[in-house]
Amino acid sequence: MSTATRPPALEAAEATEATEKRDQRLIRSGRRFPYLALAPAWVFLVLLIGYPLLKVLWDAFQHANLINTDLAGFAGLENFSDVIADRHFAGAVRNTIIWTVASVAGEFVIGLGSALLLNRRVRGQGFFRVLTFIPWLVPIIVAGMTWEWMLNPDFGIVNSMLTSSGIIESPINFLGDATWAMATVVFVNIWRSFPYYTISFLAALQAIPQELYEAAQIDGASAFRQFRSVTFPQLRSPALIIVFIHIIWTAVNFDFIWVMTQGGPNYATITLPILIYRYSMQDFNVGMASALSTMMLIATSLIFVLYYKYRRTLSEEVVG
Amino acid sequence: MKKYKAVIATIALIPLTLTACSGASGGEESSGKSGAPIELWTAWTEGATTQEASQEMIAQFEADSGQTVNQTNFTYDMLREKLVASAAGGNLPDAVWGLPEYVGEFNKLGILANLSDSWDSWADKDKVSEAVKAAMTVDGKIIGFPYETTTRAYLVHDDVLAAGGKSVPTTWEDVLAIGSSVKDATGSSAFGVAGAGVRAPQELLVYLAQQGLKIADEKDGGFRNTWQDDPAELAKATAVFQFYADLMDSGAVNPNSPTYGWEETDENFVTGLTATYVTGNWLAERETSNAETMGDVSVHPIPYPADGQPATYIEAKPLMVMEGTDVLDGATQLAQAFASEKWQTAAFAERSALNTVSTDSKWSKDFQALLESGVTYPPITLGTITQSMIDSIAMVLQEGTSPEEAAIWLSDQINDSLETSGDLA
Amino acid sequence: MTLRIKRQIANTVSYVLLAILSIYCAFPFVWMVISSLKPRNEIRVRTPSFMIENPTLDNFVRVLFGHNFTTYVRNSLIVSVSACALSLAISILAGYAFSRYYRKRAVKYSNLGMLISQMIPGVLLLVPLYIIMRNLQVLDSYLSLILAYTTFVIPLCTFMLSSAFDSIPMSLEEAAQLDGCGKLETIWRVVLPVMVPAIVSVGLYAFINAWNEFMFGYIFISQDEYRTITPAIMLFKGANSVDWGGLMAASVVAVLPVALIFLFLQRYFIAGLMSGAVKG
Repeated sequence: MSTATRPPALEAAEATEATEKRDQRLIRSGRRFPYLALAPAWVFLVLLIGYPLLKVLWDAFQHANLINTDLAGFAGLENFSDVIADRHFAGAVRNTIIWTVASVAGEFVIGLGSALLLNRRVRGQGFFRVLTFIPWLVPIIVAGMTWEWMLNPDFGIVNSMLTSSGIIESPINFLGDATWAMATVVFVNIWRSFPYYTISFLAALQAIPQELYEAAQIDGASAFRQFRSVTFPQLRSPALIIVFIHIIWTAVNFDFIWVMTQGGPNYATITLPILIYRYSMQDFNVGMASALSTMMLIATSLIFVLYYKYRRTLSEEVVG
Repeated sequence: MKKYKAVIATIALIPLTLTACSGASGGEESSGKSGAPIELWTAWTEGATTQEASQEMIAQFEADSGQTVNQTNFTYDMLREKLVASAAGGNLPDAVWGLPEYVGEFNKLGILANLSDSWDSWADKDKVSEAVKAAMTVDGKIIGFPYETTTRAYLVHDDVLAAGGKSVPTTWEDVLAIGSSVKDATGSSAFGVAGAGVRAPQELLVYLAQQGLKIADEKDGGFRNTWQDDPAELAKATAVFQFYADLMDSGAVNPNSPTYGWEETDENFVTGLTATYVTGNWLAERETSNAETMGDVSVHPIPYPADGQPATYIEAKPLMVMEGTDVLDGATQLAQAFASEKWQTAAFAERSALNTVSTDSKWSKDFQALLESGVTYPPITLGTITQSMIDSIAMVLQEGTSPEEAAIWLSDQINDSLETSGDLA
Repeated sequence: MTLRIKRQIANTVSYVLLAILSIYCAFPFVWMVISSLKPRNEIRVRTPSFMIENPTLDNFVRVLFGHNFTTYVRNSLIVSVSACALSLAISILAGYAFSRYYRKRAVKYSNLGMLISQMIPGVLLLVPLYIIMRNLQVLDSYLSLILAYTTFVIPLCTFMLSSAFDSIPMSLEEAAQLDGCGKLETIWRVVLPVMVPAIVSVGLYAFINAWNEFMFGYIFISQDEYRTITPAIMLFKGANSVDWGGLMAASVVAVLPVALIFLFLQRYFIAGLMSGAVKG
């Protein structure tokens, strides 16, 4: 092919076409990108959670007893009414709310406070950080058994120290006394869960550019004012996520209370997940367990709606 | 967009197809040749004699029979949950260490193999008491060999009781008469009860049996709680709950007892915090670890009501073989081997069902002497029933319910559970 | 007051608060360590004390050599590191999508889907997941645990990372794209290095979740050679007695490696790494 000079107009046209093609490719790959990015997560979730979720929703409306297969069949809303009629249902709902709200509130306060403390440049910073991190590292059963032992009225070090120093007269049965049990379980839960808040807040605090603080200081802002106008806004996004996710987890959490009190003493610390465990593993009544689980799902979905509204506001500010 | 919807739809179908083939593929790994290993799930305490001796015996078994045994250790709680999941997933092991509380429900799940023939041809079968054999039987078929059998006895700290100026009680009235006198003299409670956990229903079972009552009577191929059918029975059931209430009121037991599980009650006895307690012979090893407080222990029959009869709880644990296993003969042989005299003497010397196996210590002889009066749970699905038993004790001890109301409530609960599990007569 | 004195007061207050915080956090662990060094006859006694009359390493020797714990630690490490790496990879991609494409319907549904997946109680996941793993034929292998643990943590990791992405201005990416980088390259080369503390915190979370999980650990695994550390610790609670010494020693063994890893990693929570990149 002869390389006779080509008219500049043609060259220009070809060049524009090439750029357009490249732009289109970029745009198309940009358009495809979110779906590709979400695909791996979807594969995992659909594969491993999809079936259990569908099973739970299905079983909620069936009579399903692992032991007595004679009872099988469509149950309509019977499982739901049976659950609500359970004499422990109201108490479990109340306990779940107290357990969730108190735990998350305590974890948030201590988590934020400790993150602010650990963010300061003090000597031994690394050492303090590791110590703060430890409650989260201890496996649940060990934490549960150790605290149970420490709080035991006859053999526990806590009661021993409290009585010998004269703070209390006789040992308190922390986990065996209905008046103390819920508070104790919440206390231990806060102990074990707050480090995650600390870590997340620490990471977020590091993302705050130093200049913002400097600017505020130049304006003469006090430490408190700095916190309110510089620090806190930056923490809103991670705080929102952690709080909402922890609300869901704490509400759904079963093993922690189970390890310490099994829902006792005499149902004083029973929560909805423990009730679910009892229905499915003790009574073998999968239908009622699924019905209760579905009810919890609906309740937590409503919380999600709240979360999503806030999330949108935050995202709009960043991405526009 | 359409392409992606198709992709998502395909991904969504995968879990459905995956789960569709759940029940179909059970035990497809081996073809029933003697080369297949026997999967054995145990629940022994790690590092103790039972483990060492058993492992030696298993090795010997492998050498003698040419089969391989794949043994893994768990706790009983883990075992139960794993068995429920495995039953649903069609992936059961071959032989499992069981608890008497599991017999009814596992039978209902349809996972227990029938070992009656093997039992009949067992050399040592005459050395086992009828009570133990009954504990391994459900629906007329034998489902396990007894690998570990213990009774409960009344343990007494002689020194503590003497310091309180009291002699060993033999009846309920004696126990109540002690009241708080031992506590006042020594700081230790006179008696112990468990109000929570797995121990509580076992104790309640004994006290009911001492009044001649069962939690469910067998009739017409089913079971039923008959307390409300006969005023005399209801009165006796009320007497049992009255005993619990009286124990608290008289100061004979620690006020925290309603929330104690076996961990607390056993520990309290071992450290001398409780002067006397009904428990098993596993506390023998605490004589070395808690020498100062365990030096004065003597073994006695459990106190029973003056107008009642002696009784104790037999914990006869069955070594079960799973239905549908492809090594049925091997697994059955292994189960029988565990219960044989040689293995029992080596690994379960003080906890054997065989009347020829025992040691000279009080922990063995004095406990075995009580086997005659032993009772155990009926072979029904127990999950809800044991929970109701715990709740009924709590009603009396923590909520102030009257003993009669508690007895009626428990009776109703038992019959409701029997109906749900399909066991009701 | 001068600035200097103000700072000193602030520092002292900080130290006091840190000390209280440390005691609150470490107290049970200290109790665990002390108990693990006590011989059998001192552990569960009537009057508990912090003093050890005859300290002994017996419990540790028993746990590490008599009980196969070195195997369990190895298994836990394999499972936890794999789950951590896998979930980070998946969550970084998904988190990016959540942050930048929040308006798309796919993102909204993913959001909802992820949250819903957190709402199913573990007990009801037991049998279905067991059946799925059985059909995938990965029971009694590392894969079953890795897959399960990854799935459990994807939602939170995604949300946390998306929030971290939120704090990175778009200008950074736009600049890279002008230079001709594709999306993936942009993320890898430009955005991630600026997000290191967030990635470390999310990765740690995934790791520890996998490390501490015990229910599926004992449900899926029936062979000792694949057993992980937390289900193994439960074995110290026997049917009639609890081996407290062994339990405490095993727990110390379970906690120490992760604590050391964190001691090493916590350096990444320092502002110095960040301030350069975000400017202008």
